[in-house]
Amino acid sequence: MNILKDEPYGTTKGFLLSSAAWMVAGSLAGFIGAVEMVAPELLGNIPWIAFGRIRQIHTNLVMFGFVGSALVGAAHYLVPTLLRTPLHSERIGKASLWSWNLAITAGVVTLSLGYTQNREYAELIWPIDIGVLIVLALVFYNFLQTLRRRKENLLYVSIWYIVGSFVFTFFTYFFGNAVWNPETGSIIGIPDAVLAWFYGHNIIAFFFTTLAVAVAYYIIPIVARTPLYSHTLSLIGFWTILIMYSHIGTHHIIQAPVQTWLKVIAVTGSIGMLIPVLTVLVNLWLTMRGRLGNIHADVAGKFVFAGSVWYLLTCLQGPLQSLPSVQRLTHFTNWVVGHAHMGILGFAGMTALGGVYFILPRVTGRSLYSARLADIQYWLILIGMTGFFVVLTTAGLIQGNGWLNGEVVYRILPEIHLYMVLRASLGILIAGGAIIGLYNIFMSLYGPKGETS
Amino acid sequence: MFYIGWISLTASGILVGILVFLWALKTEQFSDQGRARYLPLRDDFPMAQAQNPSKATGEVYALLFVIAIGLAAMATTVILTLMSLGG
Ligand code: HEM
Ligand code: HEM
Repeated sequence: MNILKDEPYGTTKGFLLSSAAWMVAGSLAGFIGAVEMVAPELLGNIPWIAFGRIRQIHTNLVMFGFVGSALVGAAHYLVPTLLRTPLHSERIGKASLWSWNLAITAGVVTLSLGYTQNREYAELIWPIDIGVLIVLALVFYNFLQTLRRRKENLLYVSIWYIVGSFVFTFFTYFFGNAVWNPETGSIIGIPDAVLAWFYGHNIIAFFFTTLAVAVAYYIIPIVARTPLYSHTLSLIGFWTILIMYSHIGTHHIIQAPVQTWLKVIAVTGSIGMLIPVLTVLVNLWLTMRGRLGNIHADVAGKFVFAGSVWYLLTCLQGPLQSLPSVQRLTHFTNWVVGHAHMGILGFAGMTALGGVYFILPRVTGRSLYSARLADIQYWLILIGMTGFFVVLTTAGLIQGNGWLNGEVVYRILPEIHLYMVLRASLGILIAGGAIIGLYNIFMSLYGPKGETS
Repeated sequence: MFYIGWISLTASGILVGILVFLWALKTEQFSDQGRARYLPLRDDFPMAQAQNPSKATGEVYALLFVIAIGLAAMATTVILTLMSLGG
């Protein structure tokens, strides 16, 4: 078997299938973590799934495995298509695909064995960090070469976002993981907190957000069957996100003794973020105006539209929770976990799934195995995500309010127990959706010819 | 003095941005915005067509409901914040 086989869109197909598989594994890991919060003793004290480890396995799997693979796979379709030029090298693409999956697998194994650098979203140990950096460099090189040979000189906004994402993610990952300190992957003291959240924030901004926005900008005009409302506006959004988003990571540590001027920059920048966010949303929504029926006739359009709604809510919440007085209430509570799921699953994840279902028929040349199963997955995730949001926000407000009133943790925990039970139950919907998705995506790639969508 | 590092990191990000912006100007990326809007539309893969393209479907109402819940949650948060400030 030739794992670097040169076949049209082979890289994209590989990434899409990987995403589906990691979504199953990642949601199940999340589910285990949720069960441990309901009944800490239930699963015994198996070290490799102890909460501290399974949480990191969950976040790495769902973020880099599920959402990351889908978005990188989509980028491998969008770049050649929009540049009207075949991908520079499918073999390099395949090499990045396998290295990416190897890095994620190694990540799960090492995290479960307790090898971690313990900085959020930067937990993976040094050798794996190097693997991730190599993948990012390979992908960037492949895109750059494709760009240089492009037949379409004009770059559509999605291309700007994709290329920008890989440049910024490489640097964010390199500096954020302090790769020059292999032992710890960190520097020390407060400077490290600032660096860690420079990283934690920028990886969300310049990997998940920008790639998801690229996918949305591509799919919406096609599904709505109309040109983008304004390309100029889309570019304004791109350049403002570049300027606004890169230096506000300190809003994650407003409660820590960090220099005040850094906090001021972070809070003002967070509010300023409304500009790039609204340019994207206004542009997309004006493109679909009067065409919502068309958007929802197509399962991919549906996922992307729901993603845009979650983007709105996440980014209204974001500036709100960056305000120090609000954060006194919400920080360190489940409120933030609600925001995180809304951003990564609701916005980036649903948009990524839209990308998957849009691209699959185009790279296989036949319709989806089942549009109906994709539709069921849509509802499971939408309902599950909405439930997560309500439950986690409520639990978070109970925690924050109680603590501000001087109540101690052990009295608050029983009060939020019910919400932890609800969260675990809702997780079944999302995990179920993931399993259905994997089946559908696998069958669309390798199964018999399916129904027409 | 760690923030020298932070400032150089942020500044180098912005610098890269400016350089690419200049490249974009040079290669006339901002000149033909009217055509750029149409670039995705070369996709001609057959797609399902709604009978009435402008009709809002059940999904739209479900999402409006989601927005309403989201706004209500944020309003509650603001109220609790204000109460905690007052007390
Ligand atoms: C498949 C899509 C999912 C994505 C993209 C996702 C994403 C995330 C992210 C980003 C975090 C970190 C939150 C933070 O640090 O604030 C997180 C934590 C968590 N997630 Fe998920 N998640 C997904 C599904 C699930 C499912 C199905 C469950 C099961 C109930 C779940 C349960 C959890 C738990 C228990 C935590 C830890 C929260 C804590 O430490 O308090 N997630 N998830
Ligand atoms: C206008 C845009 C946004 C702003 C201003 C913003 C702001 C914030 C702030 C202030 C926090 C820290 C909360 C705390 O710890 O108390 C946070 C956490 C988080 N945000 Fe956002 N956010 C925005 C958009 C997004 C988007 C689009 C995503 C996902 C793609 C996202 C994902 C996350 C995640 C995963 C966390 C949890 C980090 C952790 O583990 O503590 N955010 N956000």
